[in-house]
Amino acid sequence: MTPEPSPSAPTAAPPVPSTRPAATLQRRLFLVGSLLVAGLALSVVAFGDLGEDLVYFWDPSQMAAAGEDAVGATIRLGGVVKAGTVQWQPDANSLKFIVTDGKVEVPVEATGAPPQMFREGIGVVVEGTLTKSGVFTSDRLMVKHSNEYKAPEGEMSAEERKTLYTTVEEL
Amino acid sequence: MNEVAEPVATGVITGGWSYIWAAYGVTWAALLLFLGRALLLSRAPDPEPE
Amino acid sequence: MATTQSGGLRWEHGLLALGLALLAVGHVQGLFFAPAEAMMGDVGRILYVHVPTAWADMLVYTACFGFAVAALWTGKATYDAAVEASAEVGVLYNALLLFQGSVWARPTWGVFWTWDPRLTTSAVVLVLFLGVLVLRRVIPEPERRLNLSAIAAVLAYVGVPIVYFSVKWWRTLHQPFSSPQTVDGSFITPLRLAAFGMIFLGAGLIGLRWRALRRGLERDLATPDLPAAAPALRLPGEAGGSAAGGAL
Repeated sequence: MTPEPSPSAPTAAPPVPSTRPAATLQRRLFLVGSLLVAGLALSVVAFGDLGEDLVYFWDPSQMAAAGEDAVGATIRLGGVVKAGTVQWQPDANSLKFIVTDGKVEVPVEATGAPPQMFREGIGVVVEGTLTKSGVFTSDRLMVKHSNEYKAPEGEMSAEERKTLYTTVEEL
Repeated sequence: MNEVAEPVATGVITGGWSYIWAAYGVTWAALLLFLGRALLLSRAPDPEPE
Repeated sequence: MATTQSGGLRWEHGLLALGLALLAVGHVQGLFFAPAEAMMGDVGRILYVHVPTAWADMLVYTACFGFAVAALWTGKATYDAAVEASAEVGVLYNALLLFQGSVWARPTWGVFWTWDPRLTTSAVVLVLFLGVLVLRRVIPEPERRLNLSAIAAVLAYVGVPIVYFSVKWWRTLHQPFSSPQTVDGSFITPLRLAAFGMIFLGAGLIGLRWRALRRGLERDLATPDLPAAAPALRLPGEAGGSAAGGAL
């Protein structure tokens, strides 16, 4: 191999042989091809109705519609904890409540203490199985947080916060 | 409150600063490590061939 | 050490300083001055590190996509270096994103990880861009390395809009998009400061890596890939390529 021809000017464009027409054409064909494949893949995912196959959780109506098929399989069920249905027995480590989507209600029996954010009216996803008796038994309970981030009420007035921020921003 | 037992969870998270410190600590540590390594490599003398 | 002209202050140093300063101010404000979130309590403060990382990571990956397109169009080493630099920073941010997310998920959702569409697609994108970096390490021929890694980066980028829209297209445990309408006003200033901080820091890190990588790649690409028919002649070129690779 011959030594490097021009290490003199690193900022100037080096004599790149890859600018020879054949290589340039090949690279640009690669570019067009990969953009086409990328665009195609994205539109398949975006408009290809994958939603039916890629279901992270079922809602109670869907589980009810599945009927007997839902019994025994490991599934995720998502819905809202119905108000007034939460029963927690610390001695038995058992938590019972009803999950609803507004149409169908499913009684859930979970083991273990739930996350701190668990409460009536909050969204949950439970992993487990539906028993023949129609009770959903779960060993994994997850709480769904909304995209709303709220400040607690009355802890600090808007005025106080504003002064705090202006103090910080002046740093 | 007849059938419903005492609330198991309040719906509000208390504490949890260890999670906060883990998230911030690891993030800052990784950013600074990457930055330090990148600074070192960008300042290393250019190995001239022959 | 200080013999070459690579010392001295450059534009990327300005971006790094600005990014670190904004990130620090945003985090101090978010950790110690902003109110706790109504339900998540103090744990909600992870917002100021997680969300900025997510936004900045998308921009970094988008830049990587743009550099890959430019590299394939022009064949220039400067874009080739930018592809690698931005893929590195993208992978760093993505890995941090997944870590912060699972540390946040444990106290709020109750689990460190679940195969929800948002989490799954983020992890897939991390693996794809790691693949771009691995590809660059294992291909010794400079032109092939430029071509194949840029093609891989263009294809990997498909995952980024999918991650973004995953919370809209599919049911997830992850919450949908946050916006100024869904985030309390008192959280917005630290969130914005940290977000701009992450973005400037990312741009500065890309600049730093780009400058370190560029010269070696310019040298590499100045030597054309030799035809496969001349393997004996090819060895010195490969040695040069892997030496530069080892110096990364």
